[in-house]
Amino acid sequence: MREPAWRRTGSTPDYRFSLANERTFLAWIRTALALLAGAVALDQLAPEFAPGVLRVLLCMALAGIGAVLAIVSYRRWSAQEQAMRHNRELPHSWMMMGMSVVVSAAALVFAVLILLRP
Amino acid sequence: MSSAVDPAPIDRDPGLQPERTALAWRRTLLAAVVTDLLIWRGWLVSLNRDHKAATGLVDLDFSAHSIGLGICAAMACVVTLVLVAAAALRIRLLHSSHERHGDDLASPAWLPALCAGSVVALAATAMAAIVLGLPAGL
Repeated sequence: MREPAWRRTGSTPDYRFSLANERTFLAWIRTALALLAGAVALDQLAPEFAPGVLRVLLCMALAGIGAVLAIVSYRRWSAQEQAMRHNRELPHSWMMMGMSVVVSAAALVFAVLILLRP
Repeated sequence: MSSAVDPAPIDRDPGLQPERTALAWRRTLLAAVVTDLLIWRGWLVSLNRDHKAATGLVDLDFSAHSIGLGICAAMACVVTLVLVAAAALRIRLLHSSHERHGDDLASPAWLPALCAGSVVALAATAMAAIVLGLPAGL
């Protein structure tokens, strides 16, 4: 398979930095997979925690965030790889803040749903 | 730098970087399998419901939900096989390049891309399974 054009620019960084970047990418991928597993588990194993349609919407939102996170983590991996090739500062990413907001919002919504449960 | 201060990474990588990366791929596979099992569970629950609704074994009729969830289970299976193949290849690359020169250890760009794409496909499958499972909870 053809490598992207940026792979032929700059110089190859120390392999240890590339491998660390790859592990960070995989950690984000696992976060995305955990969101998917959480969405399906919530839907199947806790059918009473919210009315049908609301439950499906919440689970779909979690799974959707998982899909977006997978794409964003690839883009982040590629951006950091490029920065290392050109000896630039690593680009800032909103991923951590975004995920903190998502997880806090999810916790809040689920707490409210559990409290309001008849 | 003298070789005493900076030993060649071929002999021994003090951080065991390739091993840690190989383990990270294995952990990722485990996380994918958990999602898979849950999607398969949804299909089995739906088949069980069909079975209870049927009057006898002969006129066991699969509902549209069971067929849809079966397709989801098959999709999840394919995605996992793709991830297993990607991880197996990556782990082999990590070990073989480390033995040869320890320099071209960086992943080819298509492997993370394939991995991210598989997760997106699994997310689509999970979303379809969630929608198809709706009557179960109502």
